[in-house]
Amino acid sequence: MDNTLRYVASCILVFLLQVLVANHIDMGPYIFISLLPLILMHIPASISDALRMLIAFALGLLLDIMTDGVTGLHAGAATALGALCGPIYRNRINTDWRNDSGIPTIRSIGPGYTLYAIVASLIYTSAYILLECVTFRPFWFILLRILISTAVSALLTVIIGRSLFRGR
Amino acid sequence: MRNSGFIARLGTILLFIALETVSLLMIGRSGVVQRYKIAGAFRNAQYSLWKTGTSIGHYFGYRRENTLLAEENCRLREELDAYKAAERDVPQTLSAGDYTYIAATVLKNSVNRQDNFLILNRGERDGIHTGMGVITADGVVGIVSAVDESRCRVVSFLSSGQSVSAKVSGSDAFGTLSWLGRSPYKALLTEIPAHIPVAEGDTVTTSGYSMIFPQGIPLGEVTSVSSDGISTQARVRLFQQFNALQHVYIVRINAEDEVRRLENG
Repeated sequence: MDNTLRYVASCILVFLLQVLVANHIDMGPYIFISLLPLILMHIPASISDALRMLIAFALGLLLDIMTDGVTGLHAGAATALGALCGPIYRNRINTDWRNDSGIPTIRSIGPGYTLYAIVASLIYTSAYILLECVTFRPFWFILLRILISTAVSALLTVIIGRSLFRGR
Repeated sequence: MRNSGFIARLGTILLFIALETVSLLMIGRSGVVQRYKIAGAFRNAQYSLWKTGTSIGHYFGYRRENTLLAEENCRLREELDAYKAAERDVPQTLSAGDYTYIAATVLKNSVNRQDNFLILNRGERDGIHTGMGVITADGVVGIVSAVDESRCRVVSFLSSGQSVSAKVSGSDAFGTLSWLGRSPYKALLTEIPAHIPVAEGDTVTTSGYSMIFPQGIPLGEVTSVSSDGISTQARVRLFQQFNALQHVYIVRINAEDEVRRLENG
């Protein structure tokens, strides 16, 4: 019960950090900070991919509503991450997931956590930026934005994740 | 067991597509630029589908289209002949406006024999009879030699003994053009008086002095000239592509009966 409460509280905190802090930080046109992948990474591995996608879509839509911008961008990007991060986690990051309590933590994932964070940030950031500005921005701009945003978001994800989703 | 796993995976994929579609719709509604881009992408996909469908539909209509075009060609040819006739100062026995053209399709064709022939899809019911000329825009094809109810046989120009009354353009002197018997592209123009200048590159056309072919149908181009002092012979490269004949025109003389009476005296 404690673990569940702690997990839910951590997710809410990350969500609020995204809405109240990250969305208001302007670090130039090349940096887009996304913390939603941190929540989606820690959805229990035992949940089906379909339910994971629905949860991701709902969270993304909620973020869209609470963000001043184009509705549907976060929902689309979160759905893409929700579809992929389950299989990536089960097949690559932690093949021993069935023996864990269910919620991925730094302890359960181990050294692969940083890689998991980078991959999740890359998927989410790429989907978001491509949905936002593909075909009417130069290719190099989009590429640079994806790479720099992924680096910054992944770094923040690892730092915050190590604090909130440490596990016991 | 395997089926349920496959169905579950399929369901996940469909759910992903559905959620992304909903996201795209929301993006399209919310963002002006994105709406323009998404609408453009849908329009392009629609146009591609329509274009493919139209191409397939057109393909199945080509045969009818060709028939209609051949019939239109006949009408235009008759109109052109009528205009040409109106421009002439000196009326001739058979002016260009005295011909009617009947479009026909080649059912069978031969080019590699000494006596070649064609079978066309027109017969007695279309007003065809023996002795009618067959032409295309590229030249003379042959003469109808046999007719039944719905088809006719044409003796090809590429036959021994076949000849066409022809003249060199720019001159009124006429001679006889006949096939050389080997290549389907080579013929020989003979009996041109020696004093008539003939040069390489000159165009050879029908003279109009036969009862069969109208005047002015291009036949070929002179490739070489020889003279024995009395008459000139010219080798001619034919314009007609005998091995690619599909649509031809059968020539009917409108005042044929009158002309025959005049001929027979």
